[in-house]
Amino acid sequence: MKKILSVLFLLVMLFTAVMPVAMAEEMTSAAEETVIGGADEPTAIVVTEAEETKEETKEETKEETKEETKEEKPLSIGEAALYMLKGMVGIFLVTGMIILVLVIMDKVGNRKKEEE
Amino acid sequence: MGEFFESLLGNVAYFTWQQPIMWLIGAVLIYLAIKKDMEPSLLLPMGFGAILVNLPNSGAIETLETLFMAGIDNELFPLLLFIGIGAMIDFGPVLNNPKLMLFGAAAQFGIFFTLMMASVCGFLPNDAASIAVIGAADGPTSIVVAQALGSKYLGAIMVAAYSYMALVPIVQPPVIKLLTTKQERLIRMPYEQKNVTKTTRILFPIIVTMLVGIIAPGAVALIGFLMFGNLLRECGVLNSLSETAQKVLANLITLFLGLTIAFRMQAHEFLSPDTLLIMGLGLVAFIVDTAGGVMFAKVMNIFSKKKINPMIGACGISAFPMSSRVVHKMGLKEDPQNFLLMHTVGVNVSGQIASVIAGGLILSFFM
Repeated sequence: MKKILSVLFLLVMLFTAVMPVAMAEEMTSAAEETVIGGADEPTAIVVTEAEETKEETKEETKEETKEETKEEKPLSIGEAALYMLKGMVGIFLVTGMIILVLVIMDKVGNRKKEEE
Repeated sequence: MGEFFESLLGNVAYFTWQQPIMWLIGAVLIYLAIKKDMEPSLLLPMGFGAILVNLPNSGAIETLETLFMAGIDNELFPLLLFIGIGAMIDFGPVLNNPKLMLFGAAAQFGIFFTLMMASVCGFLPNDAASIAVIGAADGPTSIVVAQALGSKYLGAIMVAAYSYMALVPIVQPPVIKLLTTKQERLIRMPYEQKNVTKTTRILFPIIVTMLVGIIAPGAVALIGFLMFGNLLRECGVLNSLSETAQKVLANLITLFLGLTIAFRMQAHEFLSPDTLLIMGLGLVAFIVDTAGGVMFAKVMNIFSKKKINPMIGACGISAFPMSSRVVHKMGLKEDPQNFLLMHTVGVNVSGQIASVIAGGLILSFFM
């Protein structure tokens, strides 16, 4: 179990190392696309302002994202590989946390039994 | 007389050459469902629906569109189906040996590998991501992701997902044999039965929902409905609701789901080279998923004192309970005294959870 935990710990470290870079890239590109994606200037300004102030409703975001997605190009291999890394690290992170909670619950349960 | 025949057979003029091809596809799906017993509850309605919507000027299209808008466009049917699936699943083997969940996670590699392959093939990010989720080997997750991302390939994705789920006994064994030695396939894994408390069983669905929800908010609906179904099962005070979810609800939704999906199987949408490409990518997803689980088990063997039979890693593909049965039978074939069933079931249900997490992460990335 120690080995598993150490591997999980390494994965968490990797995750924390990769995520900020990836998220920064994503946020920058998303912001650029929002401005460029607007057909007319007022729309672009309104959308950018809304993003800055974070006052968009979820529905609006969803619609805009769908519109932007349609205009997007296929992912490059590098981008897809980055998503692959983020996805696998994310899955292992969530799974690792679930395992950790289950192990803790098991130990607490065993201790109670021993006390009884 | 001429007018009479014209009114009677006038509709024939609206035939297109693609429609008989779709009838053939529908007939193949019905054949596979009835004769080969391959996911009959879904392939049969889908096959019949494919014929229904591809008759010239079909009056069924409007009805199916209404069902589609009411149940799939808003992701209601797959989510309700998840309550039934959750109520059917016994997470006991995972709670007995939590580290089995790692195999479920590893076997989702195929999803992300396919995302890369679909991007290389020129699919737009939303379509590539939707195609990749075929690798979740989980119909409802595929529907939710494809619909939420607005993919135009929903019909093809569903046909690929359910066909390959039914083809697990054909797809998985060669991949497993290719990646393992005879010695590895003979590894025995004694099963140590622990007493999993009722509290653990009740807390498990709640904790999983919370953890997944915090990290992958896109997966909350999926995992939440699945775990709600499981909570109904495990709480012990709602047995009638649990039984309703397992039988009546799951059957009703499945009935409508297959027919409704057929709305997206109209010839002009379905018959394109992209559909063939999606079928190919779906196969890649299943193969790489299987390989991911097996290879992860082999890596675990390097660190672990207790050796793991790498075949069980393949069950992380989800496709519950088909995959666990397949691997269990493979184990028995190699050694009639090697009972892997409890381990394979544990990995298989872990795959169910991990595939939902993967779907949620994909949604978080692309929405």
